[in-house]
Amino acid sequence: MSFVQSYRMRWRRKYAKARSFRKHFGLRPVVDRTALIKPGDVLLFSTLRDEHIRLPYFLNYYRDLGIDHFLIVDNDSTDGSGDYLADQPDVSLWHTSASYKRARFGVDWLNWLQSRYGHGHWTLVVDPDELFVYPFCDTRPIRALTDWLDGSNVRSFGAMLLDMYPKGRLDAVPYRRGQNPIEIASWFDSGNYMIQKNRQYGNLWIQGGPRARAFFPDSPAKAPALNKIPLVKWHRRNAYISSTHMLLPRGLNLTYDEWGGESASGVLLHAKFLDTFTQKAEEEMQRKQHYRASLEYKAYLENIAQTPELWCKWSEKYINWRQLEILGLMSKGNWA
Amino acid sequence: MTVGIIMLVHTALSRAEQVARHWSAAGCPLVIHADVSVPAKSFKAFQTALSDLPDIRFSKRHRCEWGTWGLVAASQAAAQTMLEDFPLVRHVYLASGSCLPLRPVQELIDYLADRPQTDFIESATTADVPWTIGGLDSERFTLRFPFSWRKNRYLFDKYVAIQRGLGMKRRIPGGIVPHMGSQWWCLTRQTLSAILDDPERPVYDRYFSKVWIPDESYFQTLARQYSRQIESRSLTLSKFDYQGKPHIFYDDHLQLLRRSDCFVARKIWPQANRLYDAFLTDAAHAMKRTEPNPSKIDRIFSKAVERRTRGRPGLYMQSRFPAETRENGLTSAQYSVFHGFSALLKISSHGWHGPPVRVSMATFLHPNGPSFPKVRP
Repeated sequence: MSFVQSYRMRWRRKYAKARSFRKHFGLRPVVDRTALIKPGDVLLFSTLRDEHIRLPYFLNYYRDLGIDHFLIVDNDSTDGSGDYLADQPDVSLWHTSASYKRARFGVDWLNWLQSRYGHGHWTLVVDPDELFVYPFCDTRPIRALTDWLDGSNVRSFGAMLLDMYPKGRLDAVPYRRGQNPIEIASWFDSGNYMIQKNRQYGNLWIQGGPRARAFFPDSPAKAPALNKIPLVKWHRRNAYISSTHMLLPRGLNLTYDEWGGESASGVLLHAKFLDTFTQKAEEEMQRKQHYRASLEYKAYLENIAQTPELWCKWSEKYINWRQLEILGLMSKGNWA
Repeated sequence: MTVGIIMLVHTALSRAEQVARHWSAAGCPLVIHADVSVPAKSFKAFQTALSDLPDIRFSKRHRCEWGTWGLVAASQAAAQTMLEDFPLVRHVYLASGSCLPLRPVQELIDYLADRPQTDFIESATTADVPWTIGGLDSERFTLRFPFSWRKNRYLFDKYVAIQRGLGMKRRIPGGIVPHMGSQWWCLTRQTLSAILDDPERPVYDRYFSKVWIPDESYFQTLARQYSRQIESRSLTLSKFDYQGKPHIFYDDHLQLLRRSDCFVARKIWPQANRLYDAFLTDAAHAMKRTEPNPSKIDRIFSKAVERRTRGRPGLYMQSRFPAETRENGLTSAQYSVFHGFSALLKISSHGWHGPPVRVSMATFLHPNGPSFPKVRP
């Protein structure tokens, strides 16, 4: 990597920081409980809009993993998400009615909150429909993982997005508040993924899964990226560049081994495809606030809205993290 | 006659206190060494908390950075205190704050009382064991290592390269043959005082202070000089990963640790409440008079090392993206799919030239690696 390239990366990082500073003026603190954050706490950052129905399970899932504090940006919800979150004792909440798209899909807001409150902490950035799974997550709290990463001098931990979907029509079983979404969306694609290396930023770029085959059957290269690096030992100079797909400095993107071995990694179970998805798709098509003018929702409405089913005979039913490990979707690395 | 415990502590002092009480309750005198990096306030609190125990001493504090002389200096100082202050101690057991006794302490005392002359210290020559962390084995003893491997890797590597290039070699002091092994030992009073009171000790100390990872070689080498009977194994169960870092034990290792029949295990995650509860209180369950057998649990840890260094053949995924030639075997070769010929040509079941296409696919994609059918020219 030449000096010129390094210097360019430096400026990109500076640009992202400047952007996040500029965008933070659109954030209005609703409840600020950040004084409760203790050194060494693991923090969760999220941005959401109208996700009230998912929040009870989401918060409890991460509380059980050992998340100590939630820092959440509410992008103008109208379904009561804001009030619900404001009542939670371990949540700090910001509100904004600014454009999600112009905050680069929330990245700018969270970059700022992370620099402000996450410095020196392990920070997990997930959406309300993403459930983080890591090796031994059923027996060891997230603190065990971060302590181990600290001991191994590792600063970032990758977790691929795994799209989960139900068998049958997406809207066949209604999701109830507080329910584990994986009870409904319990199927996934075990092996139709494409992977390549992004030479510029050093991260891997993964595509595929049900969205590639059902929404983009004729143009799989347009399918959304599935590689994510949600768990990072945050330093105030860090910046997410594109969603949680990649970061700067580039060293944080090297969550994989190139010498033949396996590094440890996890999975984000993506419980997006519930009955709520179909109505969300219509709404988001109107708002056009998502990536590439909500291309994904458009592709959905064009391709499968008539018979909204993602299940196929090669689908695999989810059991636990060990199953994902055996399938090679994640790895224990040398954590035993 | 009893067993004296030296504890080297640096973090998780509340756990260290809990374990210290456990040792003490069984009548073992304790000497505790706290790393210099422990803040004065926490150290004071720790000292006060333990002040009610009989037979406890705190030795002179050193800086114990991994791979440096400080760890040896700390052990020496603590051992000196132990031998001077507790004349009834026959065996001295070196442990750390993150060690956890797995069996009742009385069993350890009895075990050692039955073997009054035996030193338990893993000790092997570089020829015997292939430990090559950082690509160094016998060179640990013939080069100098003034730079920290953890903090100054660049200088560390450069200085090694320079010394290799210039052919620099240190002279090993007369009469000793370098041995290495686990730093957690249990030595008899005789052997330990012979090492500490040796008139040549300044020479050895000077030499070992520039050796790399001296805590794995100082006592291991010198014990060979004086011991009457060495059992070359550690009584402390510890497993190391491919970088030489100890594996950490968690709550889900409970059954595994029980099965090992070892006296002490290292290193335990400080928040592994179930482990601490089970082994520090539940004596009845742990009681078993058998030989320690760490190999029973070797499998999962050696598999972890294998997975981290070699990985699964042919696997490309989010945390394994092998460079060319590092795949450790491929399960598929590059292949092309031709589709739609039936619309253009009439092909008999014997294909154009060579075997039917479907068969070729089956041989290209196989868990045991691709194989190519012989095509007649």
